[in-house]
Amino acid sequence: MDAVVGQVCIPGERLSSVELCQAGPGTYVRQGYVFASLAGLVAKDREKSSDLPLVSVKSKNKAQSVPEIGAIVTCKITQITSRFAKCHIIAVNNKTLSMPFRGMIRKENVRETDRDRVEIYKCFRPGDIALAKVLSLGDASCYLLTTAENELGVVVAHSDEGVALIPLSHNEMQCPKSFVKENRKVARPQSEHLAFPER
Amino acid sequence: MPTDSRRLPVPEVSHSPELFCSSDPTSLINDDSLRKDGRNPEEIAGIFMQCGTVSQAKGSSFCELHKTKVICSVYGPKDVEQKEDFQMIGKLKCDFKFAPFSCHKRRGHIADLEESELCEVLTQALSSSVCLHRYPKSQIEVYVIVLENNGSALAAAITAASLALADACIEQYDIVAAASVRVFGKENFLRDPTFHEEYFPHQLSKKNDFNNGVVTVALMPTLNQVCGVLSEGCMESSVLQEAIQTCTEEAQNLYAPLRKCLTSNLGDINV
Amino acid sequence: MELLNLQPVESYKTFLKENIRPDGRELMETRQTVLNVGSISTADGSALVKLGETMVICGVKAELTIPSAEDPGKGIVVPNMEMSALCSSHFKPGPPSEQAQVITKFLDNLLKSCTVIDTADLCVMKDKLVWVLYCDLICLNYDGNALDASVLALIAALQNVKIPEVTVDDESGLPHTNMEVKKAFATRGMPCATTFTVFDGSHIIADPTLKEEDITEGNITVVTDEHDNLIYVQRQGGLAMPEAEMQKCVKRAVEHGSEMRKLYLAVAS
Repeated sequence: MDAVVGQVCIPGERLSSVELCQAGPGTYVRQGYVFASLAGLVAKDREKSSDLPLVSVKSKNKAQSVPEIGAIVTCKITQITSRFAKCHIIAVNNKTLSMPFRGMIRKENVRETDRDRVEIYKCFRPGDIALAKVLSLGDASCYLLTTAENELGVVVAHSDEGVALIPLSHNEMQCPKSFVKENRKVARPQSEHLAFPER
Repeated sequence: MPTDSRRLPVPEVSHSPELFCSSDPTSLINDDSLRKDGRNPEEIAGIFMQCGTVSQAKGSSFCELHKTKVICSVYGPKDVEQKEDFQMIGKLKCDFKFAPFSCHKRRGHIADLEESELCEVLTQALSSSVCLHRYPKSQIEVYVIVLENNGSALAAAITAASLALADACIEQYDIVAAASVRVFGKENFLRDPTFHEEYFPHQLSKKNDFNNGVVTVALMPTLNQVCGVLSEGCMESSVLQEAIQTCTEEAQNLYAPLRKCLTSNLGDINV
Repeated sequence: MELLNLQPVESYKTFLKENIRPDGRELMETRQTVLNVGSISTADGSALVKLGETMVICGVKAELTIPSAEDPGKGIVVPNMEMSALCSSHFKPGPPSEQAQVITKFLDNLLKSCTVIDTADLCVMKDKLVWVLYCDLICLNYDGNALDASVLALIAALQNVKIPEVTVDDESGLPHTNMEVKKAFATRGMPCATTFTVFDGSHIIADPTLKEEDITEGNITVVTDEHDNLIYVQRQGGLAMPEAEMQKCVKRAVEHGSEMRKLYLAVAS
């Protein structure tokens, strides 16, 4: 009765029992058995921490997760005030969302050090694209996000000339055309988060 | 009378031409115990199912049960509207609409009571199948349009909606298959009733109005749980039980085509 | 991640440099069109149009009514376009969106200006009884350019209409219909619409998809008839357009129109 890797399944199909494996994404547990909750192919991964394999269902890449606590999200800044920056979450864990979720980065969550002296307008501008981590589900309207890590912060920003800024340091970016320096909470450049097509 | 400023003006009253033709009421089954469209009472209607009809939607489906055609699309999970409260479980929003040209009598543009009722049944049936706790503070939208109604529209809509949810990769405990049956006297159960076989209280003559009605059952086939029942008309409880049993069997039979439809377009996944 | 979603305008420009569009079409190329008529048996006439991924269905319901006092000898044709929430996340359930209203009005103007159906044909008895044709269009999948698809669906559905025979009893004045005998109308003219849009003020592209509609402005719709005459031209906003560009659109619309009319003729036979 143990499902084979690569086997197709649809919601409600029994895959295995909890004694033989752990329930991963795309599955649920009911009365000691693991069932599929998505249509897709069965996959099993061995986890180092546990003896039991992790059973999951790989569906078409349309599968979209809602932002979870700890997930890395890509967001577009929409509005800034002196206390917080509001943004649209456009991707979760590098998966593009069909509809954006609303998010908010509060002043005290912008960076790790010198939290009290953060000035939002020196960190973000509307239109910037930033990487952030989900802190909590927030309130009814917004998810609470943080950029207080070296790898998090602005990744794409444009100057008044309309040219993409080049990161200089952790808090500065420069326009390659006018050489004007602008302040941002810059993310340490990392290739795995954003891939640009070759020009 | 309020006018609709967003649509073109229409004549205040107009009548379907069918109103003016002489109709002869015939029995639902003829002397050879066959139905009007030539089926046996137990014979089910052929069903056609397809996923991914609406490319703009997250998930979609098209279902055709004899001539009843239903299209369904699913959007989300997405942000709930601003005015709503924080909720740790997701919200399922359904919309059920008959196209104006889908029935013998023309339908209005604004949702009528029948549509609201069917929408409620649809929402409840799907709410028990979708893993709503996986989608905190989000909403999932399900839109159903009946393009042609030749009976059993609710059953077709529920099946189509569950198919569309699975196509949209929304987590479900089980898919939902629905079927309906027309009860006509104590022994007669007409499976997958056509429009003419559906239950119209005003068409009944006084003497045989007992044990007459339509029963629709939504079933989660692998868990073997019923997640929605709609019974119209008046019947003995034993007859109702038997009708539900008939529907359950029929819905169970839909599992194989549903599975085939869902698994047919999974070829290109890399594990 | 897809750059097309993140920075649509910039990535579109790189495509245009190669004179090609993201879906592989050339700038003036339209999408493949499929026309299917008579698939809805509960309607008196119906047509389904697929223009690429865009899908529009039109069902016509004929009903009997009393004519208006201004036009006692004429029937009524009422088009209505519905951009349901089903077809795209751009639309919400509820009353028709602005875009749907614009299309409804466009179709109404088109029917009035080119008399596809002579409303006098819809008269059963002057001053007493006429047909009203409710033409309900529903967009089932919206991937841009709903207007061209709805014109095609409306005209094809009207050509497909068959209405039952009606006789009026002389004595009682009551109508009697015979559902067994149905007849078609004489439709005249086969108008066909072609929509163009302007990207970045300089590039004209035909038959835009939804993603292209989002980043362009100033739609131009040219309607031609079977004699290659212009019968309706609509331009919604946008920058000034040189006449030469306009001529290019008209020329392309004439070509496209004659292709589309083959579809009308194919389904009619």
